[in-house]
Amino acid sequence: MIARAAAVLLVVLMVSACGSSTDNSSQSGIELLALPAEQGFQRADRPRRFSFPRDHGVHKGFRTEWWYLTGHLSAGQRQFGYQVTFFRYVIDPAEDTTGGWSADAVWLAQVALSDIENAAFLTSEQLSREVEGISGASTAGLDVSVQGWRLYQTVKRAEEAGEYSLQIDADDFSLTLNLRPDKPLVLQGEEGWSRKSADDPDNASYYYSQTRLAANGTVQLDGEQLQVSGSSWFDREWSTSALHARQAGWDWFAVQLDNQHELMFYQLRLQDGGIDRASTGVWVSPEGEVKRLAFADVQLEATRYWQSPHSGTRYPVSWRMDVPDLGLQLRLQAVMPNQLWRGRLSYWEGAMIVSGTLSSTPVTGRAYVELTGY
Amino acid sequence: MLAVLGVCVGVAAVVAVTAARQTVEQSFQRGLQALQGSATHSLVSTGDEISMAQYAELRRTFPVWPMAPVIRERARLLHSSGQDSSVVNRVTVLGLDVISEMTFTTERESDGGLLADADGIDMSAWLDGQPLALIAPAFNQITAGQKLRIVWRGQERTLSVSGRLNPASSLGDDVIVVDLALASAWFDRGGIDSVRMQLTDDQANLLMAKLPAGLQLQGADDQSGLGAAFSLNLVAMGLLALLMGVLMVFSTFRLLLLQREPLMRLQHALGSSPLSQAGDALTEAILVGLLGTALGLLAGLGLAELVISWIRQTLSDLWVTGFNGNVSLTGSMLFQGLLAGLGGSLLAVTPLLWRVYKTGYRITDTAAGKRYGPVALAILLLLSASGLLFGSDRLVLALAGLFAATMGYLLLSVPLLGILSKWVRYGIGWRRLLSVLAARRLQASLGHTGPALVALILAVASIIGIGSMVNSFRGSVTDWLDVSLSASAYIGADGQALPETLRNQVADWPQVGAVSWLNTVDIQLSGEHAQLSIIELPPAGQNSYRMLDGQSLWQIHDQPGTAVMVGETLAARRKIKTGQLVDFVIDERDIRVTAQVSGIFQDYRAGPGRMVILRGAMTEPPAVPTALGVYLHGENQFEQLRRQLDELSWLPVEVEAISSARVKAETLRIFDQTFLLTRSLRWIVALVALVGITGALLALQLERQAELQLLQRLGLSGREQRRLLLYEAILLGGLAVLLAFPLGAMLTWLLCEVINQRAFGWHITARFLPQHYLLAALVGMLATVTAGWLCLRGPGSGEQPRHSAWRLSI
Repeated sequence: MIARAAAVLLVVLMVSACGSSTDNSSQSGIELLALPAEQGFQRADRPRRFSFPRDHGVHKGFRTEWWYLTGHLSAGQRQFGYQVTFFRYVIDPAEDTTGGWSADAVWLAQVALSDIENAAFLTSEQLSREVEGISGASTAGLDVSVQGWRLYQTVKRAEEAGEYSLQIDADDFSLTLNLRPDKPLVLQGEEGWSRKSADDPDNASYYYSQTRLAANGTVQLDGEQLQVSGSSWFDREWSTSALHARQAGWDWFAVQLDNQHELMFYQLRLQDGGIDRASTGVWVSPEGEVKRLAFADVQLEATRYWQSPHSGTRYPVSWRMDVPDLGLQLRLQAVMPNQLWRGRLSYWEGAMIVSGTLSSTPVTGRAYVELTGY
Repeated sequence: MLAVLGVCVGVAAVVAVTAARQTVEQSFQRGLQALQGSATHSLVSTGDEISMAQYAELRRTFPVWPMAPVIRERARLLHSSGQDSSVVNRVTVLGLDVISEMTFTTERESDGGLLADADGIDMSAWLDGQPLALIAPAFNQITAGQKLRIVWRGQERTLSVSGRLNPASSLGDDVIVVDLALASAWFDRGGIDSVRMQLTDDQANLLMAKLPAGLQLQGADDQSGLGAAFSLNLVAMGLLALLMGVLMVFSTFRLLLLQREPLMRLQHALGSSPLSQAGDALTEAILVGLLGTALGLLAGLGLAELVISWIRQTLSDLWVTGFNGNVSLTGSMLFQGLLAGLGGSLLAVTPLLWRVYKTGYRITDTAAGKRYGPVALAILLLLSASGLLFGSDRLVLALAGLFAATMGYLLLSVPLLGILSKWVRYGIGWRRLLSVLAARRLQASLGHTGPALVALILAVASIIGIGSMVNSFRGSVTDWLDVSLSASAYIGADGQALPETLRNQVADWPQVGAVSWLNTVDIQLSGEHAQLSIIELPPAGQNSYRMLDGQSLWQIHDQPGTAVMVGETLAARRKIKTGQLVDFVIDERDIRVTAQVSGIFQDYRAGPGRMVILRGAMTEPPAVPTALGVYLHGENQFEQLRRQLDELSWLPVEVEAISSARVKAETLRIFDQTFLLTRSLRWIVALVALVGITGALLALQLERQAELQLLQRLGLSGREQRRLLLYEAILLGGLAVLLAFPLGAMLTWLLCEVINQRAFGWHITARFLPQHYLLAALVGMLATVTAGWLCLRGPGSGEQPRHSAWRLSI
């Protein structure tokens, strides 16, 4: 979900401040995400009816839109975490009719691979204007590409995502995955309308998730091609104004338990140290049944921090998460502390291992966590 | 103290030349990088343009490589300036993708690219298609927000100035940057002109292997021929400075040990072991060497800074980007300084100590003229130099040959000085006692002053060699321009095709006597890129190629078969000879041509090298020219020609005319500015020679205290002593200069005819210009006379000489 908001910040900053030197890591960027909607853009201001595979495609009337995959892969004893984001930022909401190099949107794609065995965090990104044949997305279904990086639907099924294929050829590694959904789509918030601020109903997005996909493919790293398999998580979101200026950052959790339960929860931290009441999540059963989690349902506590040697910023890399109503008590611990994206923006996003109890029964699992605004 | 000074001077010479060269080269590279926006390569089409589909395929195949598309057009800019409401500038309009430019990186920051630090890009507005432009800093009369009118092929568009390109990353004085999409729409372009790329060597090789037909990868960081020549000649000068530095340090220590000789004998008599004395001397050499090196590094950096400050403004003008080089110590400078300072010290001390040990504490060998070892070594070095210079065509061997030849000559120069001073003594006869005495003293002291004199010879020869080489180069370029630019003016459209009707129209203008026709195309010659100039010249232009070998195309026009002339750089690189058959493919049209080489012509152009063919000799010649040469009846009719061209609104391309005089003036201006540093550094050499020879003479003077005392006892007055010293200095300087002349001439010849020819394929005729010899003679004489004068004022010049033990404390 908001994971991609880091990408939002990046592009917003880029578009608004090209040519100037900024130390963006010191900015929260929330105020930029909370830009007032401009004339001509559609708003995520009410629930809508979703239609698939159409809604996997691009929604050109909105200012921002992203496609986001995270996952945990293994090749024998070797473990990897990964995250891939395709982000679209629209400059002019009017339909472009001129074609050619003329572009109304900018694309940003980011990929990160956590090589746990070697404690290496590899990242790569691409920036591109939206030009046919180079970067863009289909309006009919899932087919997103940014300068050769591509996420597309290989098998289409009505109402569902079908199967996906991911192709990434990054600076230091490449990643090729086939992704098969194991569960139905989950519409977040109110039937897919996800409010991001308790104070301002205009700050919302359309948001759905595919909480568990079986992943198979290859990771090519250091000249070695590894056959990998594992599980992934797919998020989709689009909006025109998503966050409130009072918000300082967010902590987002996507937990996949080995007993086939999933949990998504994000807490929006306010400038005054409090938590926005719009913070919310879902609990998904093995059968795909969804239970909404409200702000008050989840208790989160950071239990250990890691300090960036570059900026000195401390990031919470171990968490305690309790959901009393579910009888769920979890401990989340980063597979390696340094999973910090460093660039114009700094944010921590990485794989964690999960252990705990569900109704007093021991559970284990994995999670992806995004921490911004620190 | 003198020993430290001697080492310091030697090291300073080496460091100053290296520091100045590296500073200017680094700034040059930074300027180049700014100019190219961190790009290392450029992908171009061998046809008209790179299509969007080709670029998209490239972008998808190599996703994360920094690459940026470029559209380039020449246009006319109309804008208001003061009272004049229609100022016209010819401008280059660059269409760039601001997003792609951001993906380039520099050493310092992540966002490189051509637009790094540009002031005034509102990216949303740019991408939104608004007609905004960034202008070059040189358009200082245009302000932000001002409207500009751009005329291209008769169509007028309006742009709003949103900001200015950063002066440090200027693309040139005449550049206007707009968004790629805007350029594409305005200039009616479906594709792009080039793709700027930032690649590693491995990536470049991978791309070359996968490159589709019709695309060509060019290195963007290739230095211009002139820039590379500038660097190479400074490297040669650095080698000479290193040799001079080592010689000075060697000379210093030799004199130091000579002064220590009696003390060492005394210590030996008192029971000091040879090993202990050698250890003491080595320790001292190391300490003096290190101290002298440290001071020499500081002095060298100071000298380099001084020279750089003299020429800073000129360098800024030359490189447009602003020269911002600061002299700083680098690892190679430290290494060279240590090599000259410490290495020279040990080189001098070790064999001399061995000699002390073997000969019973006698360093002095007055029978220098009878020693055959150095002569044999000199002959060996000269023979090796011949082999290195002429036995291979490798540049590094040629540089080694230059070094060996210089060393050989210098080794020969000491016995030659002895012979010459003997002749001088005989020539003077016995009537002029002081002169004869001076000549005898000089001859006798060669064992002591030899290395310092050799350093002086080298310094004087370097002034001649480097100066003459630059002037020879300039003279050859001037001659070439005079011959090549036979037309009064040239008309072109930035390499684009001109309509054939333009030629006819221009030829009909009354002030025009004749018009030549030229189309330059890219070719593949045995798999390598080159250019082919297809020409049609009027009789007036048929002497515009100076043949170095063979015959021109017009001399053999009645012979059967297809013939080409080959430029000397291409001929040298590909070892093409007159009479040989060459096969090449014209890229654009995939036409294969086999032709016989009629001759090799002089060609100083930078680039891949070129051949020339007559248009009529081709079975499928291009239909239109890319340039026209115009032969005017009068040189003052150029402005009229330009006005008439501006009025041709029907032209589908933006044509420009440039006069031959301007081309020549601009070329020579760039040449002079490029070689300014080379000329300036000669004065460092002269200054170091002055200080070095002064130190050597002063030390010799101290060494001769006892002899002077004896002469005084024999009735030599103080005035006569001073005259003796002056005669000695004049004689020393005169002989050194005399011996420097042949070495200077040899250096000139080797640099022009061997080193530069080997490096670039340029045929530079060595010119032995008398002004350089006169200047060098003046510097050499000034150095020795000044040194003599300083000796006269020094501690040994008094009527009452001090105790001889004093000198032992030096």
